[in-house]
Amino acid sequence: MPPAELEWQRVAELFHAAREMSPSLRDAWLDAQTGGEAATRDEVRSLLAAERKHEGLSAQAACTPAEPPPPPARLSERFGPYKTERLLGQGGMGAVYLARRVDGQFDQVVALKVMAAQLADAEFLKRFHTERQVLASLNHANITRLLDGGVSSAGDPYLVMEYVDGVPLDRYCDDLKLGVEARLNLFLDVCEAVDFAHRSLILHRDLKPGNILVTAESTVKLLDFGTASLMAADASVTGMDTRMLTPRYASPEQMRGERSAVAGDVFSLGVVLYELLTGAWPFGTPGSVISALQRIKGDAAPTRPAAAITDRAAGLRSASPDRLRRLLAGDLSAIVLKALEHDPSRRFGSVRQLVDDLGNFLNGLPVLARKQTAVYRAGKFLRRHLVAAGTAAAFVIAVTVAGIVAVHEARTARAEALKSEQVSLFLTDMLSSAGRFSFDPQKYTVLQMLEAADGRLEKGPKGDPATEAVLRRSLASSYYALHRNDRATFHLDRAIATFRAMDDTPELAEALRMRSLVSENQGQYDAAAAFLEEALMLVQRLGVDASPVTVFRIKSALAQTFSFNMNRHLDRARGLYQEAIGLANRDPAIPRIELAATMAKWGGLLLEEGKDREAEAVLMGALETGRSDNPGGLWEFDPLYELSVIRGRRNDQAGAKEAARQMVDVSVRAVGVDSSNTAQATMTWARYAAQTGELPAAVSGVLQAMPIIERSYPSPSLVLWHSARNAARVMRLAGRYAEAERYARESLAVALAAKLPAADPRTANSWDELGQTLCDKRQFPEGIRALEQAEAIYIQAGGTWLEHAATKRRQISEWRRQADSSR
Amino acid sequence: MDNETFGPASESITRLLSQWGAGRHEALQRLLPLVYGRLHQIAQHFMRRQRPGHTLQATALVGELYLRLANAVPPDLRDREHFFSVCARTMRWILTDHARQRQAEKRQLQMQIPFTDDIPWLGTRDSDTLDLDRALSRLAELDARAAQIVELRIFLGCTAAETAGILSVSKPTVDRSLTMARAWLCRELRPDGASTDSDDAAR
Repeated sequence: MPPAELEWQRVAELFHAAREMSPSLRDAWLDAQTGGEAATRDEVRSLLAAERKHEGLSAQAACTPAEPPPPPARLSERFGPYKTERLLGQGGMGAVYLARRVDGQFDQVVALKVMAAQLADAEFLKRFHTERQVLASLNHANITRLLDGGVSSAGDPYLVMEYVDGVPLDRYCDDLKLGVEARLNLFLDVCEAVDFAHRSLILHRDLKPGNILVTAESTVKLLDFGTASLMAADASVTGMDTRMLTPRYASPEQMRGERSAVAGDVFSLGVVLYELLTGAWPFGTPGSVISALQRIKGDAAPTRPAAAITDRAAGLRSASPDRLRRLLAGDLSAIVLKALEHDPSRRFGSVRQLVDDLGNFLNGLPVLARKQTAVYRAGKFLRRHLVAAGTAAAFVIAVTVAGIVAVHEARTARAEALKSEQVSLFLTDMLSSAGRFSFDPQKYTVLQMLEAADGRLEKGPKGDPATEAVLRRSLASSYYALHRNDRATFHLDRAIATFRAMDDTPELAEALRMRSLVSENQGQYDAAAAFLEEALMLVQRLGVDASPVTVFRIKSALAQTFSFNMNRHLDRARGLYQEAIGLANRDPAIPRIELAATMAKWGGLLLEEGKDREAEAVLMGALETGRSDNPGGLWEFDPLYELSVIRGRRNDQAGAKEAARQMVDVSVRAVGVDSSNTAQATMTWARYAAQTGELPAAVSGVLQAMPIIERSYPSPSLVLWHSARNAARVMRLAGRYAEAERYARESLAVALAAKLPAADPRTANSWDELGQTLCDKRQFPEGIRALEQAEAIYIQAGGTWLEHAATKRRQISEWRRQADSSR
Repeated sequence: MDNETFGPASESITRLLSQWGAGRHEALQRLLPLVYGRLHQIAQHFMRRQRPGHTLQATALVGELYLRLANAVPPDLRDREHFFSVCARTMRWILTDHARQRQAEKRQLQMQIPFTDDIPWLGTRDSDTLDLDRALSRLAELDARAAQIVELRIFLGCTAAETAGILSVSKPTVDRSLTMARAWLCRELRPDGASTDSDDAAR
């Protein structure tokens, strides 16, 4: 350690020891300890003195108010017809004054809440005006009325409210030592008022004892209804107005900055009730950041009311601690805890329900909250399966992952893979809200959890065969999602065997479909088709018992197999596509994005068959359908590519370019700028861009994308061929002949290396590009020769390529003429 | 998770956090600049300091990130310590940066050192922000652990127990460090003989 640190350690030791000593002994002791080291001794003494100073300053700071007193001008200041008299209190957003009407109309004392002018902008003022009118209509005996409001001549927005001379609810109850029943009755008055406002669609958003006053006549008055939102200057960026919320009573979702709802007010009421009953805060000690964060996340469960009782609290409730505990156990506890649920959807749906349940309690009737809790605890669906409780955890995991996979399948394009970190994230998220399990998601990877579940399945009780098969299928889908095809197959085969031995069941159809996916993954296309055929026959037998989604997926998958992977049973493929699409059009339960994907595949088939018009219509339909579900997702890639090809063939350059541009967007968003997918899209776009005159952009697109293509698709990849040819064309159109020549030669090299058939027009295309480039550079002998090569191959290819041959012939003649005349 | 609440950087933050959670420590390096930016954005909406007890201020700063982190907690405790220290350091950086700027423009501070109830005099002078920053840097040279503890306490409002948990030290260790650090800071920031702050800027 460097000397300064050593010294510090020593000083620290001495400091801590010395401060424990009585002052009279201290100096002597210190002298003795430090001997000749005067510097050390002085340092320690200086720190001890500093500590005393710190204590002095701290004591002083405790006396000074934390907020500055309001500038004196605020008192006796005019706000409309009112004049402020004295300060009643100060909140985060502004101050509240006692004010009096001074315009001679009549004598009125009000509470006037002022907001600092510099915090209000035009937008705010507009909202202020509208909302004020809404609030002013709230007319209830237990709600302080909003009388008036406006903007003062100094520019300060202000609100005028009924002045209430009362005491905050908690203090009132403690002062009078009210018992549980009396407190509940007051609380019910509060709830009635809140419920009334909710029915007028007004939320409070900041319920707390400070906003609930009780007058000398025991009348409850709620303050600041809705003014939390009214006075909020700017809740937009963080979503939460940190000055307005009282964290002690705020719901987790409010603390996260989410939109308020009835459930938020229910939560706040829950905290108020809890404190009224127990004298304690439900979440332990109102602490610092970390505990607040844990509350937001849902890691902090409220203490059972009965456990939070202190003797002092019991005294303030005119009961013995034991009696109070008994009162607060059972039904009342269930009601309070239900209002405090972390998940808003698990709380009372409305304040009315809370009132009703409290009413039930007071009348000795069964309480709904209690029943809910019990159902919730027992409600994990796996408990209903015939699996021992100990293994329940493992299977929840397996089934949960399977559920995730199902959702993900619907959204994944062919290219995407489900990464295990993503699954992990989802899983941890779901598990954390599902309760406690024997697996700590922080310690295990998903695969480990699966393997544990797997092991237990093999060794432990399995329940009846059907249940076992269902569980195996769940495990299998999880393994499949994590690319463990071997384990997926293992379980699926067993599940299928079991299901086959039973009567026709929809479960078998799903298992077969999944099995076919695995086969396809492994390149075993025949097997995949066989499984699907069996599944198809099964669902036909099942009729209405088969889920439409399953039927759709089977037909789609089989259609694809027939059109792409197998011996091209195009008729069957076409029929199946139409059946699947028809089914989806009739049944909205089938996800739109899956329908879109199927339509796109069909469009691709039509395109291959040369039915451009029909294909285009289908593809546009596919895009429209899918976009209603997941706009801009990676699934758009294939249909957009096919559209660009169709439009290019039609010579609609601008349309093709637009489709290609969208492809690039989709790809960038999904897999990033540097991916090979994006590079391919860019190359497609660049070609059309160049052909519509956007040369600089096209050139830079090529320069950016080609290196990625060259890296990702080395020769003899036809992707490289395609891109290089496009690159050549772009460069040629831009007049950059050196690069054009390089790319043209590159595409030619690939065409030759790919060992294409002799009459393949692709080779001709490459010769074509090269020839045109060389001729543009006026390298005539070679250029013309290249064009002639192209012509020859086009002629050999025949069909529509003959037109190209004719074009070449014309170009060759023209160039020959130019070559001759320049000689 | 609600992506709409957060800005365009949020997707990267989520991705990096999950990578970090999957054990890729280098993701933290790429995360930090994004974290600064995001926290800064939030911090800009703070006005005068809150009354004691309003912990929502500090919560706002780290809450959003914590939520995401909590769903991708790295198994390595060292990283959690690092994360909280980073947040505290970031708050310090934001406040210091702000104070420097305001000083140069000769304008009043809009953000101040959060209120720490056992060092209540800290922040009562506008010069405290910059002085504290300098002092903490010096303290770090003498006792890095103490500086970390003080930072967590002042800028994140962590209790001694929480600090002990984050840094994996005992609570008594934290208490001792804080006791000495308080005295030391008092000496650094209030060197004058006067014990009244009559010349304080209005808070």
